[in-house]
Amino acid sequence: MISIRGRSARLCDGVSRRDFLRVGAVGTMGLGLPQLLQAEAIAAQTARSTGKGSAREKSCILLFLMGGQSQLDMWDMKPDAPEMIRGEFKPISTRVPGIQICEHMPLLAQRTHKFAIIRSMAHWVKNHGPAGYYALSGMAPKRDIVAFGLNADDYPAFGSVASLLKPSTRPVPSYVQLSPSLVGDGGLQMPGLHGGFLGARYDPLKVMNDPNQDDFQVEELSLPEGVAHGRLSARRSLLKLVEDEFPLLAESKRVARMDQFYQRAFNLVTSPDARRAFDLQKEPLKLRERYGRNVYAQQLLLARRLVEAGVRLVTLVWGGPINAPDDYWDTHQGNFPKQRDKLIPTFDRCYSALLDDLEDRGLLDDTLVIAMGEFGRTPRVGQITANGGTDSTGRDHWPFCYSITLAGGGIRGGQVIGKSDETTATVTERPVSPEDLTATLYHALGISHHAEVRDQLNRPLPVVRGGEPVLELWGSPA
Amino acid sequence: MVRCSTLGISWLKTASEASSGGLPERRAGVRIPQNTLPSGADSGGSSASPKRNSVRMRNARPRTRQYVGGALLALLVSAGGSEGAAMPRPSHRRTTRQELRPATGVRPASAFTVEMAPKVLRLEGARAEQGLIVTAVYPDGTRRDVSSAARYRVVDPTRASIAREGVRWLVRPRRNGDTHLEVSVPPMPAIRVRLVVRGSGEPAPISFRGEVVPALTKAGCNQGTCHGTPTGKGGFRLSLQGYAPDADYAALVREGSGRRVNRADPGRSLLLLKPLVAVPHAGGRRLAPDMPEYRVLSQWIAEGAAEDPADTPTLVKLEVLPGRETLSLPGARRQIAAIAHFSDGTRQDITRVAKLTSSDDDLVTVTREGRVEGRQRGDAAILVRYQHLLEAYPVTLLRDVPGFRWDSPRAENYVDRHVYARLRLFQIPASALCTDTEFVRRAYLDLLGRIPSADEVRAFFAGAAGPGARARLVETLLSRPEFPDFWALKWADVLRIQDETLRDPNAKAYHGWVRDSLATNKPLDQFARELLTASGGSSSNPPVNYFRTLQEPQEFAEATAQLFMGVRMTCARCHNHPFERWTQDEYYQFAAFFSQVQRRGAGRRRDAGEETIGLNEGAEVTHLRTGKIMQPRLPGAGFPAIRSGDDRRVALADWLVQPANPFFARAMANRIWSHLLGRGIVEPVDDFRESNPPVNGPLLAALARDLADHGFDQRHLIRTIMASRTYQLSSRAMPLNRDDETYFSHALVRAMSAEQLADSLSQFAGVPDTFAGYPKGTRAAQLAGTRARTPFLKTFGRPDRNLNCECEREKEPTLFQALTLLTGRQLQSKLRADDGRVAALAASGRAGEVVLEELYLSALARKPSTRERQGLLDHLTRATDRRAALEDIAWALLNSKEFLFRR
Repeated sequence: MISIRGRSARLCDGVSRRDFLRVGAVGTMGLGLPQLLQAEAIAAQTARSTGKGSAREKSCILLFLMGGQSQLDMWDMKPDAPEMIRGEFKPISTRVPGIQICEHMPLLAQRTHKFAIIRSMAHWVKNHGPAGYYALSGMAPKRDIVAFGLNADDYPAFGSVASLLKPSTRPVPSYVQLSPSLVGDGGLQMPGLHGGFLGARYDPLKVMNDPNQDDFQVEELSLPEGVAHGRLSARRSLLKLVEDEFPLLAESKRVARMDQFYQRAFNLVTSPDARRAFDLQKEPLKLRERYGRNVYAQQLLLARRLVEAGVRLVTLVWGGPINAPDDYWDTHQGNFPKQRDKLIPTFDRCYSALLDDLEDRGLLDDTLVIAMGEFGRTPRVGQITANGGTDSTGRDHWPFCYSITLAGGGIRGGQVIGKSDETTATVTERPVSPEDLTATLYHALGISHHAEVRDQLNRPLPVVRGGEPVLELWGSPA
Repeated sequence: MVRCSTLGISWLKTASEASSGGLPERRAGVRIPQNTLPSGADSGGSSASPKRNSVRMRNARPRTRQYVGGALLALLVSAGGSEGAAMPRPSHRRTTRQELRPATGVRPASAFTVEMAPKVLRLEGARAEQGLIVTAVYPDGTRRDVSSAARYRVVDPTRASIAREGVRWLVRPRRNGDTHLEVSVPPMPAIRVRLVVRGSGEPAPISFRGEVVPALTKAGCNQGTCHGTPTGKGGFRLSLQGYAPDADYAALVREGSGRRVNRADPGRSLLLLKPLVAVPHAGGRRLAPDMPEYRVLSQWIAEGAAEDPADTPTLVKLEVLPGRETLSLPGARRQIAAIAHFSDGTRQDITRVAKLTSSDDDLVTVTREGRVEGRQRGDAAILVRYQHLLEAYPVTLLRDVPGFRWDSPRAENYVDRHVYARLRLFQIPASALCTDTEFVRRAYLDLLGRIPSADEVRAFFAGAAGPGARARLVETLLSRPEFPDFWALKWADVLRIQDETLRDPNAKAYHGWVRDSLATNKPLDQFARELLTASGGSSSNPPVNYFRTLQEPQEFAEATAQLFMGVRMTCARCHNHPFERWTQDEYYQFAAFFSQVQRRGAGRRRDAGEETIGLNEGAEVTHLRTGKIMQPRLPGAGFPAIRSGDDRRVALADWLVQPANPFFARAMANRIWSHLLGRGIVEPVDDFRESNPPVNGPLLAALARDLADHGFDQRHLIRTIMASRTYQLSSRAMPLNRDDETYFSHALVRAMSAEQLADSLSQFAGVPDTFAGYPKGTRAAQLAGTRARTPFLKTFGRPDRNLNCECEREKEPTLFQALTLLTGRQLQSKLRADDGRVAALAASGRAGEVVLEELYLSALARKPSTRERQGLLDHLTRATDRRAALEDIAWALLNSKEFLFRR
């Protein structure tokens, strides 16, 4: 129970003043201070009353595995099920007694104490676009169709809300997306990654180049050809000369906001912070090797650098256009060889490296890491649910029961939440919906899942509709 | 029908009242005496702890109430002595005595009259109550709320009792019959109002719809973030703000395993335990046992938790007393009373039951009991929500501004007269007239969507400046082909002209039709009618595409209301609009005008996106919740006569585009105003509602009238607005108008739109953009659909046209915009182009000063100042690479806020 007095006391103490500065600094004008304070106060209250989560500043790395990992092949194995269900892989014991995972994840098997597995994710959406929207924004799509593109009135991505309610305090973007240029199905952009009704200013900074390449750089943060740093600063003095002629422009709030962005842009381009954050050359070769020399592993390493530099949320999309699949999780054909030879070992290696790396740097407690797809894969090999192209060697989409993993951010590793039936067709214990998961992510960042945001019609809408955080994640060992 | 006749148009009433002098005239600089209130004038202090035990109080009182002579009472009050009337003394009395002390300049005693509201007091039912609203009215029109300080006496005290609760005085029934209430505000003589008591002996059980649901609303249980959210909270779901009482009754009484309402042991009902936090409640503490809402809920359960009998009179009208007022700060306070009128002719004071909210808490607040307190200058409304109705009580708050002086700027036309009236009322000075340089840049950007070229600037100044020059420029620009291009863009955004849904060649045809309509200056009523009633093939009759951008009657209705009525109806699709009068029924009745619209693919040409819009006479719209077929009904105008075979849309269009229609002309005038002034008189432009009143009602009414009187000729209105001094005011703020972004005291500085910026950059650099699918030389403002969108346009806020809303165009600056201009390859390549302006100027061999001037005129429509000239020439002479140095200067000009913003 927050009393009025209690809340206004927050207004006067250092915490909220810093919030105010932060709001000013990034120009999150869509949100009034009272709303922001309310969101913070409620989150702090929840944290206090439950003793779970924390009001400390948190970051998040969201590893979005397009197509979805097969729960049966990786996290929720059923060795006693018929062959067409249990598949070709065998479970192995792990560091945590009682938890078994796939034999092709020996590195993660040694680290099960660092992460939690939810084996009871469930929803009903079978197509990539709407399911991805659901998984990433927490909002159920209106329709379950292939051609599901993004819309201006979409629910905002988790990261967009986070950059509104919990913007970065350092001169780096709040929300960064590391992905191929087009993420989505049927040539349409995947919804759930952008600002939606909050507007484009809450879209992520998209980094679409391959950080595994030696010439990797972020165009927005680098200078154009022929404009060296010296020339930019000369230009900046000329700009000042022109702008001094009309100081009255500084009187307009809009101009002042634009000016703030100019200052930030100059800082991003010229200050070492942001460039250093994106400069993977600064990482020891040995560490880069430990993650693995491929695009996803290096993006994961980059994500760690960004979080270290103060970015609030990094969403890494492991996947590209669904109709041009290469090496990701949409295994309609060749499910077992693809996973065994490439997907699972790559994932095992980079995900373990990330957990170790975050822990070594003391970042793990303040960084929630989540690896999830938009759904899982069919229990029966060759079963068709969404894609007629699925053959007898593949697994199709399966949203009714699937597994995801979470680590860091103060959650307790080494636990399994929820149970599936004997074929992972359905959830039998502790179902977790995308709404619940989104509420969990907000909770982890110290954002109340009851916080409100406004859409373009100025309608007050809850950041997530109807979900409750999975608080056991932060619970003590049973 | 009573509901319908007042729907959404009460702001009209206020507008016309205000224009006809309904507001007290307030002369600039004339200080209205603040301290001439009658002794004992209202002391406010809503935070005072009320003595609630009215029963005891009634009994403790002498049977015959003493009326204490005015002069004596005044003396007693000012001396802080006790009063003979045995009134409860609020604990805050001491703190407010200061205000009551007579100050210098007290008027003669005869300086006011006493007004009482309501004019007749009706107490109908044993539990009826009536709050008393008393106003001291001064000869100059100033009104002071003296409800709390007035003295009251029931002439026949066996009929009714009177008691003070908190800051309110309430009368309650004792025995049926007629008597009078005597009201006196010393030193004026007492006045009498009739007091009618009926039904005092009859049982008065708690009404579910009339009291229980409103109590849930007032306690916040059914708000959108709590149990009113569509999924409910904690397994308990209520209808948002109680719009569906039948569903709420089921939720309370039938669902929840009967634990929510326990008739056998009312105190164990979850409905009572939860809000007290007697059991854990995620929503926290909402009620206390001594709150009226709690008493209503517990009493209702104790009485058996029944639904209302079928013959219960229904609510037909809400009324808020007293009428519209202007309140003066500081100390602006007003007690209001909300009266519900029922179908059986009875009335109830429901102030305490209704949900009272302020449209803007920064300006004015309201307590649960209806105590209104002003905080800042401006216009706001107190919204009274009770059952399915919503009534707004408009409040205008004024404050004397030290040092304010009205310089009587010249009024060019009615626009200025209305704007000045508002500015003088709020004591905000108007800025000076903008310079010719500012005007020429402003006019080009507003009408043509691009900055003027250096030659165009020179031509304006060469063409004999002076009076009439600005008007001549406007006339010239209105006849340029870029004008329909740029203004078609505004419509194309909100009509959702995009390639994805319309497909070629429809997007281009539709856009072409809009552009041609502007080029030929098609009257706006005709424009709207052609769109709304369009039938036929999508390429042969482009306006049918209006119905191809959307899917179903509900969407057509929402789009039509938003575009042509300025009303956002969307909320009412699923529930009664939480901030507005629109009910769910009205929503579906409006949607019924579009029920017959049918889309058909046209044979083989379907691949090309050719479709036909026709009518399917049998198709109907059903209500989401009740499943009933809804008949088309016009908002505020009832059921139109529609014969079978008629196109219902024609009836709608006939009604909509009449000059007297309360929505259309205003919505159109408001949009045009906002395009030119950067802010609507109602803002957002498509959000007309009681809780969002126009910032200058008379101005909006006058613009709408002018537009309608001139046959909906939008060029006429553009010309009129641009001829006003208001449009031509400088953006340079003054100390006393710096904070005003509302009343048009100075021009609003605003960022160029994506297309304005792209086309201006291209024009400056002499390097046109290329857009896929369009001929070379096409400007961004001419793009028909959205396919040729570039990352640049997207970054600067060009919408994807997925909404019928101006709001889809991003106006807030972003970090990526700054990065795009700072380091973006697009601007860089324009500056470096070998065939561009910078290269040409570098190679021209012209003197540095001449080149500088050319760059300045091209970018900023002005010449460099001496200081700038010196600094930049310095840069030029020091440079080893002249072209690179000019690129740098051009870069600085284009990145300057002076360039990026229209001021």
